[in-house]
Amino acid sequence: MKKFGLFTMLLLLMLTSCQDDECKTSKEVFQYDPVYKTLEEIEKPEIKVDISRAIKNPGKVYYIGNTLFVSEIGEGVHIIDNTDKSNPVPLSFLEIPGNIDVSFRGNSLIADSYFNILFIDISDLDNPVVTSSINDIKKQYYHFDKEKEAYIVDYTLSKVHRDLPCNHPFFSNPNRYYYDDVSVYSNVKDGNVFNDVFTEGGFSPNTSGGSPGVAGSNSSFALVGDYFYFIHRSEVEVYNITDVDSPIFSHGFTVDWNIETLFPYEDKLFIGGRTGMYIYDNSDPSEPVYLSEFNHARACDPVFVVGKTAYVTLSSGTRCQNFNNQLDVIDISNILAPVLIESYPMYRPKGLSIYDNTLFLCDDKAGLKIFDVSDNTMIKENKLSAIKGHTFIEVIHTSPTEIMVIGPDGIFQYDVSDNSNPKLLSQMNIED
Amino acid sequence: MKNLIIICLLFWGVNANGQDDSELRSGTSIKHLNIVQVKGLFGSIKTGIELDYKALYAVSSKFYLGWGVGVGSYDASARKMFVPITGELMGDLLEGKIVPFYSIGIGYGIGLPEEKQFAESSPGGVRFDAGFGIRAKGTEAQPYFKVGYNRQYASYPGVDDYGNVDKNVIYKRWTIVLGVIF
Repeated sequence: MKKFGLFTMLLLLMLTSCQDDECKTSKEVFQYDPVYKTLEEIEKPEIKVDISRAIKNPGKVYYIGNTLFVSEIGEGVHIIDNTDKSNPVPLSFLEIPGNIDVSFRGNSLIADSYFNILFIDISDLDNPVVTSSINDIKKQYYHFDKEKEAYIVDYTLSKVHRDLPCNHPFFSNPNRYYYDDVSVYSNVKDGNVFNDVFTEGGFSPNTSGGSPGVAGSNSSFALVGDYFYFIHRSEVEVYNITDVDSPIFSHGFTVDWNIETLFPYEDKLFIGGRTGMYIYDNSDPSEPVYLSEFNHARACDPVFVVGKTAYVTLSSGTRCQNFNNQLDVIDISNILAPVLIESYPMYRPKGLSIYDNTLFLCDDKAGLKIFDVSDNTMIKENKLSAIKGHTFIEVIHTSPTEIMVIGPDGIFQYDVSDNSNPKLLSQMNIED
Repeated sequence: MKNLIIICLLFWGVNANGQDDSELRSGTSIKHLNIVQVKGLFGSIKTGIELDYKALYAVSSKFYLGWGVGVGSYDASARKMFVPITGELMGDLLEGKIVPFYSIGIGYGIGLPEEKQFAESSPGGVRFDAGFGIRAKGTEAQPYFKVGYNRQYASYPGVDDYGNVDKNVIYKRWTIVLGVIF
């Protein structure tokens, strides 16, 4: 009986300490490992000229005179002689660590470098000199690692196998990411995953507009007269750069969270945000004044304005968190009360440019679409032509009859003197 | 469930033959043990069940070696079903009419294809079980009761929207077994 009691106790002990099944899932995921830079390395970047190199990961494009500046994301700027558009000649590569965005004033290249904006005198291309800078403007986007006493400025991407418990939240939310003490892991190859984790909301500055040169519609830099504008979180900051060697803070104004693009047009400043387009009176460029706004679904939204009409493309994507892909045409004849004229569904519209009633619209994998926009209510019906077979993100006019189209496949130039039949002039491929 | 019924019928057939054998051997000392048992598989969340047949041969009066086959599910449904095929070792710890005994089984659990509505199916994996129990001796049909531990390894190859996803599971269960030796 004693033995039976002992046995029963043992049995109860076993059953009350029931075992959990063990379940692990092995999966191939993208691993993002941070790259660190100390504050000193960021504040005193080594700017130097190197021989031209292959374009691998183009960011922003800026065109002035016959020179093309193409940002190599995080590394610097390709300088290309585009005098002969059918045969652009790479001249050199200007190394600017942490660069994404570029603009130009006088002899100064305006370029961001991590969280600073540098004014680089390139009158002697062999000896670029940083003449001044606006510091710490995007510092809050960078995560500071207290242990390493350094900022995370980039990441390296690799594909790895990871073993995780089957009930790990990563598997029930496959579009999400997870991270440990060292790396970020994601199902998708999307740098914004890394930004979401290590920064406050992502970092996506864009090209400039409204300056002597030509940039695209995805602008977070803008030049109006002697004033330089850039987006800083929910604010637009205005600097007087009459003397580029000594930029002076002029004004800053809050617009909305997640504003992304600046488009100065005549005496107005159009600001594209993920939830709307904001219109400011810019007759005094030192101090823009709010006029009105036009709200739309959450999306990425380059803006282009011609006459009394604003053209806004809304596109989906991980960063944009939108399910609408469309071109919105907005009547701004009453600038205080913009009104939607028409929405046109598109594949995934991105950058756009308009010249002489002709709209050139990059529609991602659907290519470049060309429309006659003389009647804004009949744009879809008035499609003139399309360039297919490539993914296009941004388009700029390099002359009234020539365009440059940029995408992950390369930089393409077309003669569009006949909009119905664009002719390829040149193609600069992007190295894998 | 169809698989379960088929294997139960198979047990019935094997069991019937086993009885014939044991009758031939009954009388003096038992050289050949036929065993049928029902095993409860208790986990912290899910409970499963397994039916087994074992054929053991006496190496000595206290020590038996043999093989086993069965069918079971680790969540008592048509999912996660395995057919264990094992090498078996069993031995009595004492002499008497009611004796304690031990048993160990090591082998492979073959995963059964799951019903169509379930995407996952495992080819199976290594398994083992061990336990202690008591059994009545001296009668032709000897009932026994046993508690123990059962471990089954299984892998579930799969694909999601982003590529291959291999799920590796170890079913770790305490067991309570009721059976008959004849």
